[in-house]
Amino acid sequence: MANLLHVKNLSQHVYVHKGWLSRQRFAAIDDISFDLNMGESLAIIGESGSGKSSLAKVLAGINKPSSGDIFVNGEALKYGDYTRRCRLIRMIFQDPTSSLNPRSNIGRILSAPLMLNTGLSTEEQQQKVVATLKLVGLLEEHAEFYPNMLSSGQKQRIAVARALILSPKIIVIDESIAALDVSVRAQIINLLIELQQRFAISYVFVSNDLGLVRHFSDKVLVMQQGKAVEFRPTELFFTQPEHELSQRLLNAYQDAFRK
Amino acid sequence: MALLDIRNLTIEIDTPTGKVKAVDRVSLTMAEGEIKALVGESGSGKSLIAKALLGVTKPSWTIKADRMRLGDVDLLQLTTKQRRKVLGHEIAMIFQEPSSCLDPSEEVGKQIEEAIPCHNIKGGFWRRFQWRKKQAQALLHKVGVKDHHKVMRSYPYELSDGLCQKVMIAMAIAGQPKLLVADEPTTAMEVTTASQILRLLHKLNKLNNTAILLISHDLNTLSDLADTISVIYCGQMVEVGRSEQVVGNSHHPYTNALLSSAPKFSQPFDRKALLPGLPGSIPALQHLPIGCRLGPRCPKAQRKCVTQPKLKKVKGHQYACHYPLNIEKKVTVNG
Repeated sequence: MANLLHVKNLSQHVYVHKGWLSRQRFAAIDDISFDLNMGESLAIIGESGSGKSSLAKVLAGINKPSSGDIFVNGEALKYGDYTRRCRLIRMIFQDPTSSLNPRSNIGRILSAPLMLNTGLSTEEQQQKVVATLKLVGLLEEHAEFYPNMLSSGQKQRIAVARALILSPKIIVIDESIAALDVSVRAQIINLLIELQQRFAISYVFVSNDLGLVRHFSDKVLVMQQGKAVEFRPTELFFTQPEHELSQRLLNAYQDAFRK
Repeated sequence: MALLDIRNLTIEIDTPTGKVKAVDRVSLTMAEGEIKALVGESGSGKSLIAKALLGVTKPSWTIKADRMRLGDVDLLQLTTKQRRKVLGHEIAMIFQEPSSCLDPSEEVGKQIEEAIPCHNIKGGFWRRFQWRKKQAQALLHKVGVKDHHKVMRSYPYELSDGLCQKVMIAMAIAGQPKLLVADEPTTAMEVTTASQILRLLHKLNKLNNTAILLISHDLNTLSDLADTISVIYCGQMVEVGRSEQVVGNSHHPYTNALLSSAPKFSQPFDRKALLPGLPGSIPALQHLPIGCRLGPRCPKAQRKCVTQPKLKKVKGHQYACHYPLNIEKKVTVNG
């Protein structure tokens, strides 16, 4: 199969307790299928509560899917098989400030995935950490720093470095770019684009900013109440949106406000 | 006459390393019924200005200003008690992150009722029983909430982001203020809700002639709503002007970077091309550069930039830069 990532009929059901004995089944994501090639980016958009973040978490292996399969390079990924999964799919979390441990320095934050998943010696780990820091535009000395000594843009770079350090094929980005300041955000987007061109990494990213989606993605997946209502290439999505929700989103963005 | 007139507002913060000028001689004027956007990134002091305006300050701040007037009241001369009165009657504020600003332990309806001032009640005492509740319902209808029964009986965690923001706006306009300060009203909201909130603010402005001071970091979404825009960087005002002047013909490199660094819909742009942006990041308050604070990041910076440029005014468009962009050079014709 040519596709790098192939998701087939993926769903996740959550039980909401209603009273003592009764509970209600609720589909966070419902029967989603899509393909993604190497070096492509997929944007997931939709309204809040539509299951965008749930899908990202299931892809990254944080939540367990109720049914359906995820294939990477034609091989199925099982839930719980972290050693294999984290070499293929890594995730950048929403808020870099709270996802970095404030008590350990950057060097330790970055070498933790190496220690857990690879058989590298301490020196090799150090070299890898330094190489990755340089890759994301930071200096060797930053390995000694603690997260509180860095600015928000630098923290985001550390988050990118942590995702990159195991050289994964796919990186899942959960709305982490939106919270940054405009001028810093442009730098991070540039960094992600450069990395994609160099290493042919695929991105799956959740975003509300359609301008960014148009710029950055190759395919767009529109979600509504857990279902994928539209999945098509970005160019087509922006010129001929099919579903009523996508048309509404596009209209709302195009004139977020016009007098 | 201007509704709000602030001249040379300076806010200094006491830190362990000494006093830091977080806001440096900022001037702000607003006419009645005007929508003004104050745009800047985090750490630029835009929220500090709003807090100084409202008088919600910390003991470690020193606030100095040549002038700070709301209508014909001098805000700096008032006692705390008088200031509080002004706060309820004439200025209202919508804070950042609506869901965290509402009291989580109380029903939303109660919180709205609490915000309604009792001075405009009319009629006898028997009218008071249901009066507040009715007012609260009317306020919710005003901000576009149809199902007021459900909203008033729910707690803040049960409501969505957009609804929480609407409730906050309802509470803010309860006292029919002349000036509404909205601190990041649409940040972290999805597109459809954000446009609803912006439309609501515009409606309030048109119907009640409320002046609105919008504080945000996103220049692009606000440029259509706002009449005038002030761009602030690290506590210094860099560009002030009417919305179409600032967006269409920006003179300051920072404004230009803000506009160009967000990929846009309207302009065709190569997909996956690198975005133009400023290098470096926003300096920490303790390590502010001298002179123009954009200096180290500015692509056009030269030696002259170590002295702080003054705000120059051309046709009502002010900018603080030694080497402004998009300015027609005077053509000297020789012979």
